[in-house]
Amino acid sequence: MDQRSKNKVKLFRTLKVVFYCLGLPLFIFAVIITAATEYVGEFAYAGLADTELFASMKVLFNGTALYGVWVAAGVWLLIAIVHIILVKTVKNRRARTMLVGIVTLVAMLAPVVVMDLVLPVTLDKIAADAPEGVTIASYEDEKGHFYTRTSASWTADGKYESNNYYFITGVEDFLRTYNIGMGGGTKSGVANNTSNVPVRFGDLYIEGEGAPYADSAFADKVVKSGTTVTVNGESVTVSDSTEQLIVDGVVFADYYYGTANGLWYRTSATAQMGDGVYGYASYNSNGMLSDGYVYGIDVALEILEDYYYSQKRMTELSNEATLGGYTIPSDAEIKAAAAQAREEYYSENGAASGYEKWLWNKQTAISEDFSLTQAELETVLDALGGAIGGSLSDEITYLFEGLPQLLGMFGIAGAAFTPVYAGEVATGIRIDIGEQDASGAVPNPTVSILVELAERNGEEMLTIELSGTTFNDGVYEIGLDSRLISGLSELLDSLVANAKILRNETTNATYQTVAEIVYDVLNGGGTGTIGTVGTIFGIVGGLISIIGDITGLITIEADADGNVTTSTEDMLYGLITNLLQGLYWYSSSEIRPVYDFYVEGLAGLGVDVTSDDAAAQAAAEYAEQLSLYDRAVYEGGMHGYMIGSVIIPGSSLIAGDTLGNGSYSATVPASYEEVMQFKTELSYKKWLYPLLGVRECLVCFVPFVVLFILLSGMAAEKEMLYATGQESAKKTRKQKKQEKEAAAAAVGAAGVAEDVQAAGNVPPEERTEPLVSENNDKEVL
Amino acid sequence: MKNAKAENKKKFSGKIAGLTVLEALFYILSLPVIVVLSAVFCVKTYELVPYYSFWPFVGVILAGVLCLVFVIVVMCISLRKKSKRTILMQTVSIIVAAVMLTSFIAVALDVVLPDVLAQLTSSTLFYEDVSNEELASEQAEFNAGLDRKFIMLNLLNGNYDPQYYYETLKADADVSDRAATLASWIRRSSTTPAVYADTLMNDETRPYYSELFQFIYDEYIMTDMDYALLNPDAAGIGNSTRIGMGHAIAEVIYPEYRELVKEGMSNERISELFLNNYASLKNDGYLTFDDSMILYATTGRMTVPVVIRLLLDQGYTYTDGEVAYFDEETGSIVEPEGVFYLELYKPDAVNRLVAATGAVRWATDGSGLGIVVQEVAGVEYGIGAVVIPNRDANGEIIPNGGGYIRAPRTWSILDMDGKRMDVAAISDVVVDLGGLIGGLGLDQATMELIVNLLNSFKIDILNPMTLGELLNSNGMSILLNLLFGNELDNIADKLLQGITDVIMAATGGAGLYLNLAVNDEGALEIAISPTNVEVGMHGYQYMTWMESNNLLIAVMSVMSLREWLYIFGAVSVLLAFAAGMCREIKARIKKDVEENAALAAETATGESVDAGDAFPMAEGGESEAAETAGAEDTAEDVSAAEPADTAPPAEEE
Repeated sequence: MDQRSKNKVKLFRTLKVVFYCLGLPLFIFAVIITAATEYVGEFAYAGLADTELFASMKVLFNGTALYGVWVAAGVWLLIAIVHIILVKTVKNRRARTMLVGIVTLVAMLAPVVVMDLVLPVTLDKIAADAPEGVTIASYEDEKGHFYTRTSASWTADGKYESNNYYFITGVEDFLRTYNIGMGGGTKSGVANNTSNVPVRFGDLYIEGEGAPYADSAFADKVVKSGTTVTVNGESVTVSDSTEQLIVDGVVFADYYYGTANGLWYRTSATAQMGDGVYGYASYNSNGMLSDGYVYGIDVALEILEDYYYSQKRMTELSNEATLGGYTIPSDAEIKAAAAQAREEYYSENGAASGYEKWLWNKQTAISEDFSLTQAELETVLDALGGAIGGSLSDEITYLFEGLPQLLGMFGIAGAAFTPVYAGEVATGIRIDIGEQDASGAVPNPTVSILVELAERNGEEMLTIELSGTTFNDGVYEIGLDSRLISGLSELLDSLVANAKILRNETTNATYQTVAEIVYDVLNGGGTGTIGTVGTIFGIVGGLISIIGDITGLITIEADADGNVTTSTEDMLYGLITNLLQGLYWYSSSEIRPVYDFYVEGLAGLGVDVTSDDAAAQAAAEYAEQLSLYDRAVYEGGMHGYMIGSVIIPGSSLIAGDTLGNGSYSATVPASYEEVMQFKTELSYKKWLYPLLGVRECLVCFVPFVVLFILLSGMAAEKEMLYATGQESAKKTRKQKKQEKEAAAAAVGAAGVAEDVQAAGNVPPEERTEPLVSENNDKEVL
Repeated sequence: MKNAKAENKKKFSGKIAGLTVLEALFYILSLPVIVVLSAVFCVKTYELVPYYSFWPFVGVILAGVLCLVFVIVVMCISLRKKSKRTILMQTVSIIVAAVMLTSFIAVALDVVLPDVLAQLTSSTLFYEDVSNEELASEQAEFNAGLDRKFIMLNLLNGNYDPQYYYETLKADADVSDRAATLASWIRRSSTTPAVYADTLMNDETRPYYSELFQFIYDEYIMTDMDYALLNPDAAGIGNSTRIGMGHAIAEVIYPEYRELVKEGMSNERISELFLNNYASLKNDGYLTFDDSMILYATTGRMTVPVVIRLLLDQGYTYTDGEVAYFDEETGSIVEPEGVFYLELYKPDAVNRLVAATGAVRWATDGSGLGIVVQEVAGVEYGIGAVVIPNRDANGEIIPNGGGYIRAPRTWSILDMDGKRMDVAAISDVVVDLGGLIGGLGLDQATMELIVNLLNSFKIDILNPMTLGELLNSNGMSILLNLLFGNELDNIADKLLQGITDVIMAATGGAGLYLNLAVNDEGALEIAISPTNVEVGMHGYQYMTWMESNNLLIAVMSVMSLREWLYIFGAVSVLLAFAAGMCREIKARIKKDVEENAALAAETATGESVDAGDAFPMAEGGESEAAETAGAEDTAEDVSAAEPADTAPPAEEE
């Protein structure tokens, strides 16, 4: 083989590879680039990862972002397999190239055709199943707008505005607003719930047998594997098994071992990932979301759906009841009846298990460990009083002694300052306000304030005592400790009573307590000033939507005649505890929530939910919707507030989700229809758009891929021809001239060239003769 | 003729030797360089933590192993006599081996290590924190710093040795004298911040001294009410009195500290304190919080309810209130199984307990331990706490000599964090009491009375002044004395203690401190502090790092290699290719020699002598290699059986 032919072999070998690369590999590359720029890394197309180990890869491969890549890879694989088969079976080069081209065309168009046939039907079905108000764009519309190329749609953040862009940003806005991820997960070590603490011997319970160690001396001791506990001569031994809790040879089956700390927990107090009310999430045994659960987008949408739909449906049911001439029990009635039904459920004859009943009776004690009760509040107030009175008692005594003298130097008219001594130590100061006599003393003070340091429960506490004619000579004591609220209440009530403010014009009754005034203000009662204040409060409060918040915090009860039965002290404690409950509340992971009993409780209101009566059916559905609403408010509101992801707007005491990060974006769905629209789009766009992406690539690349497949085949053919000597390179004009000159001397040389030319006119086939060079026996598919 | 042949042979031998040296040099400059680079990092790390034996050198060890494998691969491939592969293919094999041993390892680290490292450290240390040599170096220094701070914490709180207890040193006359001298020097007008820094802080002969001083200053002096509210009196430096005291104490402690820095965790007492007290922090502290709430708090979900729950929930402790008891049979004090007692130097409590008759029952087994059997007023430790008083050489309790107490601890969530939380820094606030009183609208007589009264007591607080100046003014001091009969620092101290008591009541016994201080810029700082300084421990995360510091240092040592592995992956490819070229050139030279020799022999004998006859060729690929570049094996064979005399020098042709 001459050098020219060798060069031709090299040229066509290179062209064969280059053409092939410009076909399918370039198509695959384009699909990958499309996936990488449009779908990969976007939350909307992310999958779930069950563990944090290699989570980024799991999220990618479990998601839908690579759907297009898989389709493209499948197309390539199919073509490659057919190509290999053809290489082995079809000897005719030209025919082989043609067949590969045809297969390529079919393989690339087939997915397009399938998509065009199947996807419109699928979308139509989704549209048909979607709730009212949800609109689904047509397949043709999605095909046209899922991706845009117009420069005008270029956004500031470097993306093209398109359906895909809106979908991605919609999901991102949702996730960012609610501070959640695509897939829900638990933040939990061993317990899953804050109230799920290691069990103590007194907590151990066997169904049917009860709590064997509840009254033992070691009842309060934590159960530790492989230990023997002895208290007051009573001993108990725990085996070192970590599989089963065995105490003194008795197996307690309903407990699990905490590997982190080596202690035991109640199985029903923890949570499991599984399907529940809101889909796949971490649920407690009572059906509530566990404390450690952070919502995924699906669960958040389920909660929002319940929240909005229940409100909408309850309004509809109420309207229907009005039009139908029947009544539905009020929310308060349903809730009260549900509470009663729950009591019955956990009562001795109730349907609950023995353990649940036993646990029910311990709820008050348990709740004290996980919420701030009145008793604990008093403890803290006592500590505060002790801290002031105890730590600074020397300084306060000094102040009591010197202050009257110092104040006396100012000669304040109408006030007398007198130190109060206990022995030689000044323990207090009395300030009398009123008319002074000649000596400067105030014999009949209108107000007399005695600030005194006195011992209480072994500690020095400051006490303020108020007396004088203003108080009708009553003496009111306010301790700067746990007596603060009661003393303050007594004083305020006294001031109110002495003010003789008319409450009822008919009976001429006057206000006796602050609780009465607050009750009338909140409920629009009372006369005169209080009545006016109540009216203004109702109007203004209604305008700025605070009525519900305030009445929710202040609990005042009244009898049928409107007489307030709650004392001011109880009202203040109620206010404080309600305020604190908005920040620090106890929720059992085992006791069923009260809203579980809304429907069941209707029986207590005389509603037979099994009857066909329209009123009963409406009441049952109303109670069910109310239950869904309250559950959504708790799970999306209170739970969300705790974990920094408030799903239900306005449900938390302090606005916002996390500290210092509060306002909601207006872009998240805020009605039932918007929620359902978003939920539906999420269900299909996440797989539709990656498929449309690859469809676009398939359509755009199919001519080029077929072209380059053919060119590659032809280049391969030419390579083979030159390599096998079936074809040789044409000579240049100069060479031809030289040869012609040589031919003049040697006759018959031209025939050889004609033979060679003739060989090129027949379709080439694989020849059996060896290649000119072994190096030429290398092919690229 | 013979001389010419010898000269020719020498010339080619010189070329071949030169190429061989170059080839070796290329190999040496490839992967083995990583060992040297790694060694530099590891030695630096070792200097920081000499007590972690071989762990800082794990990176070098790994690099060494990789290098060794590379050397073996190179030797196996290039020195193999009967290779059928061409030199080019051999070079490709070496290149692949180099890439596998460098870049591939780096890629494997990048893929596997991030999530593994996060999981192993409970998401407290991330791959990104140590992903290059600079970051790894910084992290190594930080982790070494944790060890040093742990030592400082336990020096100043008296846990390591009572003689270094802050309060003891503060009360020492020599220390006070030295503090006064230093304070006087600082106050001198010629002492500029630069002079101060050069003289006391940046003394190169005292490594880690400034770190020790800063620790004492920040953690003790600035939380000590005797010093915390003092106003700056040396421009650009701060308050000379407290800075002087800080240096005076630091100078006393420094020699011991310097030694301990060298010994580190291998020091028996330091190691013992770490193991004992960390067990309490972990089992009675962190693990009791180790669930949803603490995970929320550490992952950007620290909401108000989470904080409240973490502070107020009544959880459990592993020790569960178990107290030590006196074993009547052995006469020893026994700490029950499954308890984790915190050991603390508590001189006042021990002195009171020892002084109170019948409060402590002493072991009779010669251990010197005691157990509290009766509560004593003013002592926070109750029945069952173990008392370890300081004793003299004869084993007698030193009167008022202090000692240690071992007892269960209730931990606060802030102890797990271990860091002080700055609540506010109030600066640039000028208090104008005069203006305030003037604005009250008092009549002339009353105003005069107030002014006269203040003047009569020499209370000069009516002029505008900063908060720091006001708190430190004579007027304020006189006023407080007049009203309360006490100084500001004492009153503030009592108030802050009162607040701590309230917090402890609310949290069920977990401690928390409120700090007030006038900083060196004159701003009033308010901060919340956990009890970590008092108990001599970092927060849980850093304590956990310390527990596995040797492993972490090893990880950093390995991670320092990462970028070098990538870079030398590329360099090694080039150098291995260059080395391969050397081999090819050598082979070509040898082939020329063979051909020349064959030609010379042919000329000499008049017969056609095939080079292959004169110099046996290797089979198969060797002929191809010879055709293209010349197989090295062949060349080596040439060297081995070179019939030099038959080959005339090429130049002669």
